[in-house]
Amino acid sequence: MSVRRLSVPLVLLSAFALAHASLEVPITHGVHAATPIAVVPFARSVPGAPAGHLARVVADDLRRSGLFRLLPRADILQRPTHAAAVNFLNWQALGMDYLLIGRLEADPHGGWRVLFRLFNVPARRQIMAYVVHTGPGALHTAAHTISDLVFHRLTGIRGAFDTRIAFVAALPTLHGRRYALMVADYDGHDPRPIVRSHMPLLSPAWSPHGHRLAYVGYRDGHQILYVQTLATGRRTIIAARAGLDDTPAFSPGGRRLALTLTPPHGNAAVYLYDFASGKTVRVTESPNIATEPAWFPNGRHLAFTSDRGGSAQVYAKTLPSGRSHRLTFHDHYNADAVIGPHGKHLVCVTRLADELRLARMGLGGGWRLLTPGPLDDSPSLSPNGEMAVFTYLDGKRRGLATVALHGRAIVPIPLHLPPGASVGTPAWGPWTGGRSSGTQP
Amino acid sequence: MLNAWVAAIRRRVEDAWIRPERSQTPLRCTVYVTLAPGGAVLSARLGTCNGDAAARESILAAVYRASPLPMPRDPADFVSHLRFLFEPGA
Repeated sequence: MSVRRLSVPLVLLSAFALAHASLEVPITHGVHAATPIAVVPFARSVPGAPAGHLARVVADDLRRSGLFRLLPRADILQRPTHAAAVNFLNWQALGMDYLLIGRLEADPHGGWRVLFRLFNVPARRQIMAYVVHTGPGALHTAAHTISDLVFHRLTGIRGAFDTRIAFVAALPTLHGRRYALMVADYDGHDPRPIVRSHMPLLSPAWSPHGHRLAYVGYRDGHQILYVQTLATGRRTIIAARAGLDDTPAFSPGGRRLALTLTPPHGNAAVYLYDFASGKTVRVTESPNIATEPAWFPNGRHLAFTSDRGGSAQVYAKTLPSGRSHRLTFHDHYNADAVIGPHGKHLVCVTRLADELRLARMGLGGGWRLLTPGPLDDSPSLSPNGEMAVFTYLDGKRRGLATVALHGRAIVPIPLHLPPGASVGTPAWGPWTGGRSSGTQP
Repeated sequence: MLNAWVAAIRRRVEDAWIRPERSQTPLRCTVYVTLAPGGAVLSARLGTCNGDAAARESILAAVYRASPLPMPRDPADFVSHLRFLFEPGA
């Protein structure tokens, strides 16, 4: 036998031995905790450009999601701006799993370019690099785009940070109260009035692609329902019957509007308005109160609040004429439900010991209080179902805050309204397609 | 004993694995790890894995965060090639 022939079985033997020498370790648990990440203030190539603000917006976005633990800015002692400058050992010593660095540059064609890199710190490797292009004056939006990209990469969930909210602001003036229906970034940035009125405005609701807003207004002393196109400002009246119209909700396909109608001498009931035919059909049959309709994502079921059981509870029925069945059983008051994007859970207002708080209920089981009260109300879900915006008691007036459905983050939304102003009925808008674009470099 | 060493490694890695919060389809991921004498993780390579990018990243982070892994009481028990099987809920 030649040496060569001998060597073949020897090699096989070694591989065999190696395979057997590999020790199997089962891992069956992890820790459900917020993912630690450091977002370093971005560098700037243009003096005076608000690069640090970018990192702050991204950190705030990730913090609001409840899924991340952000390294406080005071603990960020190094500010690497290039991959080569990252000292992984230092970031690991701070307990970080991920690190985000970036750089802001002026785009020669106008606007900005934001470059960022995301690193897995313990594994010491870069896992993501992007360039976000954005127009002038849209840096805040670029930050939300970055948050969306990082959030999706690290959670597998589509980010909802590049979205907007609508809400009503009541402003005291010398001549009495004035009302404005406002639209802002979900974090309160850049609020703009869409409608102004001396009479109350209520209950804005977004169309499925964010082009229209339905809302309640007053005309000649009557409460009526408007649908306004945001791009043009033109609006139509949906219902101007005798009675009160309230709580509009667009169907997921956008072809119908669920609403509450209270006739002059009767109890509120839920109706469906069809845009194509202009016809309104009654949905809830009970003589008791039915109000606050909320759509399931498949467009075939409607949730609503009713007191037919003796106290306010959330019910659901299959359209068009299925029987209603009760959803909530905790305590004596559950109302104002919104359904999650997968139809598997809802968020509602629950009353506990005279306090109103938000609760999350799994439709297959599970109940968790989300907020502490004492007067938390009007929840509306982000399009990915991970956060809700709601009103809370802020001193003597009402403010807006977000709460994460997983994790524990409750964060007020700064609105910078004049003193004495109060807000209500927030509505979280849908995804509308990126307003800035990201490409891999 | 080998069992005690595996248990110690398992505790260290399970403490270090920060799992993304949302529930996902049953996860099953194999990671091939090479150790230096002393327990430092030299390399970690994903094998068959049905997790999304987020899950994979968290698993790699966990293995490296757990480094250096504990050593066996009897040095003769030391093995430099480990095969982690991440299968939560199994």
